Amino acid sequence: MIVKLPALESELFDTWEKHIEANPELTNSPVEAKESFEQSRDDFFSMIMLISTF
Amino acid sequence: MSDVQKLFKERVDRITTTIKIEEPDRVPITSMFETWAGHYSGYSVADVAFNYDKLVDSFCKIAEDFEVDTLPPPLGVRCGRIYTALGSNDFSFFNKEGVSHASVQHVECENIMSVEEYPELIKDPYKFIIEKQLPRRFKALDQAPDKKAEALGKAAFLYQDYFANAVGRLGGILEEKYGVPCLFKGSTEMPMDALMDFFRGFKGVSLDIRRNKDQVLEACEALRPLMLRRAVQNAPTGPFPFIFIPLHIATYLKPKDFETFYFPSFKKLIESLIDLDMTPALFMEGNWEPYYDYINELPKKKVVGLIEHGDFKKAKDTIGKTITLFGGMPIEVINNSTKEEAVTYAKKLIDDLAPGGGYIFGCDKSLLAPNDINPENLKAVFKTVKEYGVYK
Repeated sequence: MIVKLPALESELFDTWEKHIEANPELTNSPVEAKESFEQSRDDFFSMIMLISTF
Repeated sequence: MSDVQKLFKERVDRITTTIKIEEPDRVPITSMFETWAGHYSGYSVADVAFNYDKLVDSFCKIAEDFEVDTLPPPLGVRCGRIYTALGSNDFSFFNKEGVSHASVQHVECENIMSVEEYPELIKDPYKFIIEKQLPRRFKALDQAPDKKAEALGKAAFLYQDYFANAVGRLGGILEEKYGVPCLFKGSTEMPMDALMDFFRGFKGVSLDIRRNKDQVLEACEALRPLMLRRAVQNAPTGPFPFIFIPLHIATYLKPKDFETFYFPSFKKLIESLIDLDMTPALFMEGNWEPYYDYINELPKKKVVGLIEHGDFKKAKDTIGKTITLFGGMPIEVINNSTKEEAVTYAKKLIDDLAPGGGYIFGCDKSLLAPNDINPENLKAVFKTVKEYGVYK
């Protein structure tokens, strides 16, 4: 099982909810769209942490 | 099941039994092979930091020649392509004439953050990292927004490529061809180490714990969720492979300061990882003997500790029922002794540390530069441990 943590509390940590607010046309997106969005957000976070704290 | 698959399973079972502080079939063997893996194959640091075929080739040669039970991922080599594309101010792989260093060089990130900026870091550390810390450490991220976006895009591409074609590819080959599982599936730092290593530097933090006590504590608490997320995000649950955590500033602190500043976020982060069914593997740099009482406050049989200095028998007697001990074989002994003397030393380690399980044999330090270890003596020592370290 892959670990999934709750969203990080940060102005710059994007969430699907914030993304929908900025792009209301995506409100009824399939669940795959949300998962893909969150995966790319998490990958970006991993890269930022690698270059900033490793 | 093929022979390689059986070998892989045997090795995983050996390690998972060991970390429960129970006796497996024999003492598992590994070491922190880093850039030395490249040197052993005739490659420079620049070769393995930039050329993924050479990186993969060098770690496969370690698996083949040393027949270790597990190997760390090559993250210690670091990805030269990312650091170079971003114009790192603190990491370098070669000198101005293009000659490769013997090991990856880095300078301390001193004063990356001023003392006046603590409130900003505490309020939103992720934002602070993106907007302030990274531009001060990477020239390509200290530009106009359009150029900065382009640099981040390049870095993202290189990051994905690195994990697919270096780290992931190597892990797959080691498992499928050599039956060698990966030692770590993630890594992180303790909040106070991150504060020192990447924001304030040693001198800054040393002054801050006298003059800005509350802000240091608040900064550690603010960084903790990021460091937890860095460790486990996208990682599969399960006790093995481990989460690698190098510990840096702890042994420079007086025990009272350790208790006040380091231990609270240290313990919470370890407990969070264990709650997620992860095994923290602590690289306990320096001499941890004055802090063994704190180690005994950690959850029992859930943590691995690579001990760098001190009396290993004392470590076994004092903290050996709490954590699995890893390491113990001094690289000085391997390099400055005859093969027979090194083997005798290894046998004594097995006598002292192996009974009851909870011991992974390995060198006491990471292997980086060309002369860090005598390969023939190391092979002889590993061969001995495989025979002498069998539980009966």
